[in-house]
Amino acid sequence: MTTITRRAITTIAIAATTAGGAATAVAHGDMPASTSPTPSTMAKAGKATKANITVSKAVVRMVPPGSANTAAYMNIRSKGMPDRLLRASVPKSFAMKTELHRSMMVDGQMKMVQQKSIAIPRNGTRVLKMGSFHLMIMGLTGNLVAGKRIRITLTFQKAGRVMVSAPIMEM
Amino acid sequence: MSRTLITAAAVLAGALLLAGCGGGGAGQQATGLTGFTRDPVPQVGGVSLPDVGPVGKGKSVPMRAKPGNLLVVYFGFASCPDICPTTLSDVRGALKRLPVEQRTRVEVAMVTVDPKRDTAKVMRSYVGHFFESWRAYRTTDAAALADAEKAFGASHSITPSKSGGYDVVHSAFTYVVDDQGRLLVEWPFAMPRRDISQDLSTILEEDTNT
Repeated sequence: MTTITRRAITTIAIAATTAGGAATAVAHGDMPASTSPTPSTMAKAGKATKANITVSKAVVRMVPPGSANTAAYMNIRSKGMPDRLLRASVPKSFAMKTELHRSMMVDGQMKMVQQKSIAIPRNGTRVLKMGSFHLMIMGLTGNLVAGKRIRITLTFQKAGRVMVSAPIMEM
Repeated sequence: MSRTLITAAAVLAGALLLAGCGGGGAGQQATGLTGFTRDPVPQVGGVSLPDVGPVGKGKSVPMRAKPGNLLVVYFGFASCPDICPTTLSDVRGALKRLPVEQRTRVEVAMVTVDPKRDTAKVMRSYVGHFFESWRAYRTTDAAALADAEKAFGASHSITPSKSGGYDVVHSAFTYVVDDQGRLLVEWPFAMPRRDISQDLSTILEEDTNT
């Protein structure tokens, strides 16, 4: 009984948080203040433009030595037509594979759900951020070094391949 | 905007909690905290799991803070790429906002819900990366872990994934326990650092004054 009540409460709380965060993110392309890297480190974040797609604020999360996985975050803006992020990859020397994921609250628990693709809205920005859509980089081949840049290749339905150099950052 | 929503949700949740449990009465501390509080305050000090960090060195350590201190407890796993490191980074960021005399009175404990992949070595490296004063709870006894989760109101589940591995789903609250083993407040995922910091500061100040 207690558990059920607790879960219901959690779901309400997180649903509210997520709804607010998502709305803000789509409108302004901002990360929530609590989880944004500091402005000074943000300046070095990766940026790339191809066709209608502009990728900005691309970063790879610094994780402790021995960690198997990490995540990458970025803003993806489409000027004009909507597009769709189909795949992402990093060099094999860095990690085994990269998947598109979304963290979400389900029945009071945080769950990561793999995404077949991530929609980029018409004339809008999709924010890949903590606790939401992100790239999951799996099977790290070694310990990460803060500041080192990782080449991320993004494949879009319309814009094709876009490469962005994202720094590893402590967040 | 989202802050307002969180606050509204917290208020709503608080109301529901009272309604759901038919509680009332003993409205202890709970003054001016942004995180969720429960009534009655849960007692988790009786929970004891092996701490593979520098404090326990593999021995069982009860989940309560040292005298006059606070223990921040999080259930998660080290290969979690998004939620867990975000939460731990937020707690770290919140601690940095505290004056030294308060910061040194807060210890952070992570309890792994994935002991298979999170070996003692992985746990030490992981938790030690984030904090100066920490515990790394790890048990391979599933029943003991379940009991610990139950005491806090935490939960997790492990399901096979398409790729042949397994996915871990878990509750993502961060809990604050005092030296009496009382669970004083808990924060949902993505709680702003300033609010975490403020809650810790409020409790530590109350503790100093009494």
